[in-house]
Amino acid sequence: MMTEKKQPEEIIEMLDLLRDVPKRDASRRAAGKAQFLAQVKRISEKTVSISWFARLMNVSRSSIPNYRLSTLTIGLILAMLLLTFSTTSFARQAQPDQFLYPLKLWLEDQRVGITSQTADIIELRLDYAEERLREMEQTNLNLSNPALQNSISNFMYNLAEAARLIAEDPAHEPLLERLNSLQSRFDELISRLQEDQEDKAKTSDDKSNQFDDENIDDDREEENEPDEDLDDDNEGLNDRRDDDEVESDDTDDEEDITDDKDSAFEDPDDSDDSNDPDDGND
Amino acid sequence: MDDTVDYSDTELLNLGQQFDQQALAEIYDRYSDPLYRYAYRLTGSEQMAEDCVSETFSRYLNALEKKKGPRDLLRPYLYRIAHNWIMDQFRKNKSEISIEATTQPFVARDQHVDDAVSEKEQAELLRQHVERLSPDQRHVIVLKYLEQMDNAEIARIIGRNVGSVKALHSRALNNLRDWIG
Repeated sequence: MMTEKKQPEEIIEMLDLLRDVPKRDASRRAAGKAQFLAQVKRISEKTVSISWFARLMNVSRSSIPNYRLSTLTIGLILAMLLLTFSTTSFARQAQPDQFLYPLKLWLEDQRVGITSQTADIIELRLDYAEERLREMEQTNLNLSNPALQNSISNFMYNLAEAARLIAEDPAHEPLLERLNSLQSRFDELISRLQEDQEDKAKTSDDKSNQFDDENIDDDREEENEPDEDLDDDNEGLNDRRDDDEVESDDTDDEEDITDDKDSAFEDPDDSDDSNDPDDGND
Repeated sequence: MDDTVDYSDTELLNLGQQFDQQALAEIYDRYSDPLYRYAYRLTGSEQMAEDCVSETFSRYLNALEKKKGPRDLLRPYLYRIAHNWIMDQFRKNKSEISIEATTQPFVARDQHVDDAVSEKEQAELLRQHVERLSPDQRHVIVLKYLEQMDNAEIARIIGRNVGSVKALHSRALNNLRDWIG
């Protein structure tokens, strides 16, 4: 007997017979859930330390605003690193009278602070003391200049710290020789700086005297002026020369003037004036 | 986090991506039973259905770990994992499934469902006919009429377009009508 084929709706209705399934075993369900949560915990513990980094680098999965934030964050971090690196590099080369010099000293202190071995600390202290000496030797600053004074103080502090640490442990005595050498260099340098300072003071005194002599010459010129008015210029000039010369001869004027200039000023350094580095420093 | 709050799928998806343990537990509670039923309807085996659920959630966590989990819809994503796993099992265990099918209480293939005495026998007969369908046809029938999904969602799960889903659906119903009578 031919059975009429069922309509699709009837087939669909029959499929409801398959809706019921055997009840799931509760213990197996619980075991499956426990296994799942254990895996969650395992992965969570593994990813906690890198989650911030993963979020930072999660460009492909983020919406556009987050993408921009990630790029901006990366850019800011790179800019800060570059600024820090460049500032630190410039600070290391700073001189006592420069803006970054305090940063240089601070960085040195930090480096000592993170050093654990006493021998390394002593070496660092001596290195920094030597660096202060180099700065003082290269500088053109006056001994009374606050920047130079700061440098000197730092040198003495580093040297004192090194000496204290050496005294605490005889094993560090080999470094004492270097310390003494630095001290000697420092003493010589200070002496030299003091001499230079005194020389400058003396030079400034001499120059002030020079001005007095010129005043005398001016006075002499003033005295000669009436003569110039009465006589022609050449004669007036000769008169001035006559005042300066012991004996005058027109043909020997130039030579005589030179000689008399030497005798009038009596300054043995006149011929070195053009080479005197202190001329412009007073 | 308040236990009494009923999270939407989207909220659960977002919290799951952040490895919120409570949200992930909620996801398991919400989807493990439907996935179990889905796997059982396709395989006819309780053991395989449990294995399917376990493997589905494990793969889901692995994807989350690699930041590759679902972007917008959680349910079709989980069903797709289950679908792929079942398809892999079908290919690996093709002969075993055939043997298992023949060891079920036998009802002759040409026997009409109407002739079956009890509802249980009717269901068994119908299940055997459904198992004769191709894997994709079978998936479409189960997802559409037993999991109550629409064509778009089915398309996402089985990796086909909506037109293919409709065609598979039509062929599946025609085949069942021919076999059932």
